[in-house]
Amino acid sequence: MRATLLERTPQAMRGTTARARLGVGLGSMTSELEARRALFVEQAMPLIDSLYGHAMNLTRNPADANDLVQETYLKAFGAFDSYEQGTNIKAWLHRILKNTYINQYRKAANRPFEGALEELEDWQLGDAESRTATSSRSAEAEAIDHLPASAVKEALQSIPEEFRMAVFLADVEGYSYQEIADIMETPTGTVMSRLHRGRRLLREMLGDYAAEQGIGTTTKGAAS
Amino acid sequence: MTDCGCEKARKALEEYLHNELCTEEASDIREHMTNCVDCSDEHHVGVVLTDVIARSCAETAPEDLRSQVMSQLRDIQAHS
Ligand SMILES: [Zn+2]
Repeated sequence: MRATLLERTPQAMRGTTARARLGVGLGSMTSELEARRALFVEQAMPLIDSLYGHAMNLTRNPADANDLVQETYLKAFGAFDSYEQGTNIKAWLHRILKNTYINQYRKAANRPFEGALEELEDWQLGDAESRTATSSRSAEAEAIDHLPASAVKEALQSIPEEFRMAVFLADVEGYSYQEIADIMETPTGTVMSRLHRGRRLLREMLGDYAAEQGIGTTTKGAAS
Repeated sequence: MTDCGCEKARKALEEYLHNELCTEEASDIREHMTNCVDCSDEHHVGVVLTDVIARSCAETAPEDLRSQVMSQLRDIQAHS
């Protein structure tokens, strides 16, 4: 039977596909998997720092971030056939990570992901800009610039998740608004508003922290 | 190029900072900032904020994680 079929198969087709169709191509199936694996590793592994950063940003602890990144890679490899080559792999991977986080970690913590934040009014979030007198903007910049990394990290971790994610993706990873919209699966207008509110919160918190610590404040003194 | 004025500049500063404006809009903002200390100081705070966040919150994946992921990928066999 095999011989007959092979004989009838045109010479050009007697490669991988012909053998696979006959169900005897275990070797070629393996090499297909190998090729897919190699391509995936080549394209996805360079993004591990960025994905780990995103995972840390969401879970806020290294153990969960580790698990989340591992799961993301396994899921992504499983779905690699559905990834369209040439499209933005960064956004694709980050989206898988975000969805894995929402489905597993977020659910476990029993906290709703979307909704509540958009209801926060601007006045509830304060207005960093209006609180800063014109003459002190350079002092504010100076103070923020001298904050310890630990304080900045802590501040970012303390702001609401959607804001945190937008700020991380824009300001740490340098993603465009469109890429962030693709990752968060929201319109770019929502990205801009989250980013704006997140940055404003951070600016306020960091300004307050600097003032408390007497960092970069020559006029206010080092009151605590 | 025309000076767009403070109000428009303030609204667009964040997009300007993130390179989201088209060339023409961006040059309007730049033009305005050369004449307006207020807006250029405000922009400077934004730039510093981004720099501080970027350098404080960037992460490097632990070496262990890298090798764990690689070995899990290697373990995946062809579907039956
Ligand atoms: Zn101005």
